[in-house]
Amino acid sequence: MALAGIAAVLAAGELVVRTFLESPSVAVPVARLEWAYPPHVRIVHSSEGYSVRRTNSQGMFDDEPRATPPARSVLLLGDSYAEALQVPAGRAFADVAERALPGTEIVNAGVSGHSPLDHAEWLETVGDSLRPDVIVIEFSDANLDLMLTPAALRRFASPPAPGVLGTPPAESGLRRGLREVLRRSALATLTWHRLKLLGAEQKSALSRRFNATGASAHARPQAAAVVDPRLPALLDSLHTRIARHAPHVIYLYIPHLDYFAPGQPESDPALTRVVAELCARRGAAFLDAAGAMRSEFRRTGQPVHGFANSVVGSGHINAAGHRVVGEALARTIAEVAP
Amino acid sequence: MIFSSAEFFAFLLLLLALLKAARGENARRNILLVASYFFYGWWDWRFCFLLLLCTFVDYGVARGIEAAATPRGKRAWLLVSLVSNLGWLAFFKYMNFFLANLEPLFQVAGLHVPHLNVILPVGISFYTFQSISYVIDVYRGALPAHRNVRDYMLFVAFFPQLLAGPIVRGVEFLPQLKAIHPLRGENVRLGAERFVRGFAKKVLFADTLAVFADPVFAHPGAYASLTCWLAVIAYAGQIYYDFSGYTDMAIGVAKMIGIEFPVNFRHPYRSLDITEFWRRWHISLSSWLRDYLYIPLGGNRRGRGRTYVNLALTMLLGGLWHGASWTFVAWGAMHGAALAAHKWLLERRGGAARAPAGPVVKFLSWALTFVFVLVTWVFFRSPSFGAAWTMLGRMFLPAGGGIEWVYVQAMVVLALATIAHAWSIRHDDRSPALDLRRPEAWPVLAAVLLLILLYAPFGTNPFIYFQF
Repeated sequence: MALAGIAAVLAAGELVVRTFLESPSVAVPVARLEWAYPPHVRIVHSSEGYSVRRTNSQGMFDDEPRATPPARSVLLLGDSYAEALQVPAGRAFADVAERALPGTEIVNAGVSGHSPLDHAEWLETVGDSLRPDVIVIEFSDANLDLMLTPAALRRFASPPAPGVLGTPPAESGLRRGLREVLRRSALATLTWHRLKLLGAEQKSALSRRFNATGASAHARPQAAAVVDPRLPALLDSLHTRIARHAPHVIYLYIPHLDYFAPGQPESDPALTRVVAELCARRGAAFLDAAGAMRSEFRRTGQPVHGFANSVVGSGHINAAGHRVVGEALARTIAEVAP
Repeated sequence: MIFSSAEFFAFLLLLLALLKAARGENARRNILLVASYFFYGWWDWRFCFLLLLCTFVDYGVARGIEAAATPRGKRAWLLVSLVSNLGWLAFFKYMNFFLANLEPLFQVAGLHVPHLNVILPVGISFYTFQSISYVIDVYRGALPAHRNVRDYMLFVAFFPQLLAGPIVRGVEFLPQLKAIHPLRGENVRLGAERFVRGFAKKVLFADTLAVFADPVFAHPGAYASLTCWLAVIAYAGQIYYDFSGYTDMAIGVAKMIGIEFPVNFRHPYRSLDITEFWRRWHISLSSWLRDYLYIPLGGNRRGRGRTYVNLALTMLLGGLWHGASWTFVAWGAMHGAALAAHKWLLERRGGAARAPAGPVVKFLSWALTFVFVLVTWVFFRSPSFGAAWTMLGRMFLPAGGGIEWVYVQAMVVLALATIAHAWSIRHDDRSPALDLRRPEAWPVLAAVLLLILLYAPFGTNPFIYFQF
């Protein structure tokens, strides 16, 4: 009876998690890009904000591509801010900007965790089929640093042949088995994510215990005085690869804001300077959303980061933040490609 | 090593295995003593020396008291213990506080005030109080001085209660050391049930509420009035579930080993008056303060006025015990004043006070008590008086504006906490308990563990009372 009861609890847990909290891990491994979503899958996101979304026929969190060519086509490449699983469908900044620009189609190809290097490689695979008028490269505080890992630097050194992303590396039987379990069970997926998080926390705690350090490897000091000296050259080479695919490129920076320390810089000055210099050099547009976001906070008194189920003022931008960024992006697109 | 960490689970499993394998009571006591010092040294091995020093001083003092031929000699030995224990507390916990407050005087005299770079040894407030109670009990003749130094060391250092209580007295603990039996399945089961309850209280309830309370207390002026109210209620829940969760885990671990600890909490937020609150909140501290401070000050034996003064003074010092800050003193003073006022009111009303109250009066009494406790928590939690006044201003003088944030997970926890307190009213103060002998308890245990795994905010959040 005890075993039957435990089985019933697990079955109920699976049902509740699958329906309301977290989808099974349906993402598929892709060489170089690590993973991507397949077409037409339902995704429930609840760890920060809440949404139930479905990918389109191209595996993107966007509407289906329009049958007739739009007057102006925009391709948005970005990370989780662009992917926008934290807000309901239609509230992402890409949707806001699209509604503000009649005749414009914005194809949202944002994928959580992707850096501009991933965007460039993805473009080299599929970009020619899209041929947008404008490419928007969205980035935030942490994901430029992703281009400086040893693995990313190796990828810079050996770019893929056009149209080929390669095949994902072979997996061991155990890993394939685990992936299969995660693909089928939402409860297992959530448990796996939590165990990975718990393991990282424990590792960090033990590191602090024995090394008296333990700062997260991903933590980027706010308003760092300098950026990695390799970054300008890497961005320059990436821009060359990206700009081949569209006449106009816009770099969109979505920063974290510190709502509780008046007088702090609104964005990372060293990082924005590097990108602004790149844009000036290469004739691209640069949109730093910090000003618009700060104005919105001054106007309403409510942060544009954070949700009712996360710490307010931190994490991803909420629906108000997406609205503000979307409006600013629409203005920039209209200026760049009238 | 905190009870809710992975390393503690490894430590506990290894300890239980060793105790199971050990032959003879001496071996089990030795294992427990070594494990307790290992547990304490895990924080900082240097703390172990202070613990040893306190232990040996009080062990010797108690023997000295017993051997002293005259009351004066006994008093002299007692004084040695008080000076030693309170001296360590004063040095490690309060020295910088005293120096900072005396700084203006030093400056007038043209002296430079140094800031001492001392680390507060974790648990010092608890084990010094425990040690003092032992010596006073021996002095009063309530307890013979313990002869076995190893067992006395174990009494002071016993790891389940070493860091944050409950403050266990010698009369409760030392007799149990006479027979440390082999592990019994029944004890392990009961202890594990209690431990799981405490673990859930800590990681599901307290840590979730902390996610809401901490940011608001960090910047109270930035938030809207409703958010401030909810954050203060969340903090009230956080400190209760954090501390009572720790206590449940301590009681559970001790039970697994075969040692009984006293109850430390009995649903304090259902209290209808402040006196009842202190009979339900941190019972081992409030009874310690009563027996070793309030009664020696004269208790209620020296007239009404003196009784009120004694009450207020006891609580004021109880506030200072929590930390070297005037906000803790203010917290204690407010509780002392409220206890004195309540006692005065009861005496003024005489027999009428004992008449049963109707539901409306009961509700109003509860609400008044709860709001008072909330206001005092603002001083307890805030880093300064300025921050406390800002928070209270936001709560009671809402000027509009501010960040409106209602953290959903915290609201769910507060709703469950309300239900748990209401349940206790209808069930003679008992909490819902797991009984793993019953098959239907296992799915409940699975559900609780699943909830912890999926929803507990991760991160090593130390227990609040460790800092005291």
